[in-house]
Amino acid sequence: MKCTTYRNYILLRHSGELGSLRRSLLARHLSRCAACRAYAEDAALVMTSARQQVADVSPAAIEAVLSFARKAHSRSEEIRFRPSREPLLRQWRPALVYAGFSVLLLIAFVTVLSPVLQTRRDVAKHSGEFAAGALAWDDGMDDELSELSGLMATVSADWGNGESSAAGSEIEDIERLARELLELEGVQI
Amino acid sequence: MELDDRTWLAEYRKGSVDALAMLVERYRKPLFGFILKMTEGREDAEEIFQEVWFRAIRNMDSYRDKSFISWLFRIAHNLVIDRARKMKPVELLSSRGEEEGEDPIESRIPDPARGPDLDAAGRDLGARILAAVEKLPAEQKEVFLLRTQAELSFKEIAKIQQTSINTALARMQYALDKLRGWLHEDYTLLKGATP
Repeated sequence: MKCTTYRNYILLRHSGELGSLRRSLLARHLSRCAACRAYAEDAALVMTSARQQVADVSPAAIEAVLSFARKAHSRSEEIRFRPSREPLLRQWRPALVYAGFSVLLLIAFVTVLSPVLQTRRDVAKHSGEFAAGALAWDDGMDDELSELSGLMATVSADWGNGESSAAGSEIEDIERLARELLELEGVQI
Repeated sequence: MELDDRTWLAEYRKGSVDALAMLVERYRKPLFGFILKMTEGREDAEEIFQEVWFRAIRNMDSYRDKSFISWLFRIAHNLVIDRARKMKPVELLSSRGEEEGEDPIESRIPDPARGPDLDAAGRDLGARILAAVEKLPAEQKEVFLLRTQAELSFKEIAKIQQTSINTALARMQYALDKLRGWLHEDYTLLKGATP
């Protein structure tokens, strides 16, 4: 170890903070190192000499401190014996805590629930629109399909009357129309 | 038998101002010695001394520390720092020690033959040491004073300075090295005179 470490040990020994193991390590080092021995002597000398030179505070300052303490003490006595509002406050404290908690809960409830309610309203609104659209779709489709079925009936009659080639192409046209119509409305065939 | 701090504090809390007077008496010298060296003059020091006790009295109910003296010196340390901030923001707050690499140390070594403080101190080593301590960087000076005047442990000093125990020890070593250098002749004389 370096001398710097042992000098820390010297300081710690002086302040009574050095353990027995380190103390014996230090003793062994000091027996070999003259520089650290001189350091230990000087350190002890300077710390002891400095301690002896202690300035003193004026009696007026001491009196000011004690007078403050007396005042502080009498003030706390006054507070102790004066009928204070503290018991009343203490009595109402649980009620106030519950009231505060309830208000917070209400605020939290409204804050959390309002978007949910809004979403529900939106869903209802959109489902109404969707239902109306579906209804409109149904109406339109019904008309178109009844028209197509009318056409099919006509073509079938033609087929029965021996006009098979013309009727065949018309049937194909009607089927195509029907397919297009259904595709237009987004219905899987 | 001398009562310990806890007993006096308990007595004070029960209402005995005399108990507080005992505590003030016990710590007046180390506390004032420390404050005086860390501030600009006696008037300032007395003001801070009183303020330390005022704060201690105001916060006595919340005091939970193991060591009363350590708590007291922590209040003093904070007040000294506050005062230094108001007075000399640059000079007093910055540590000008070798630790930080800035080292105009030779320029700050007081000449034992010329310094007015040292003249007044004469050949008294203790007074000369304390006069020389004035020239140390603030943090080294504080460690030195907390150790020598208040007799605090390095663990307590580190806590007050909010640093590690190794830093506190390093600061003390720097301080002692400088003092040894500045007061070398006095040491030699004194050691020669000591039987």
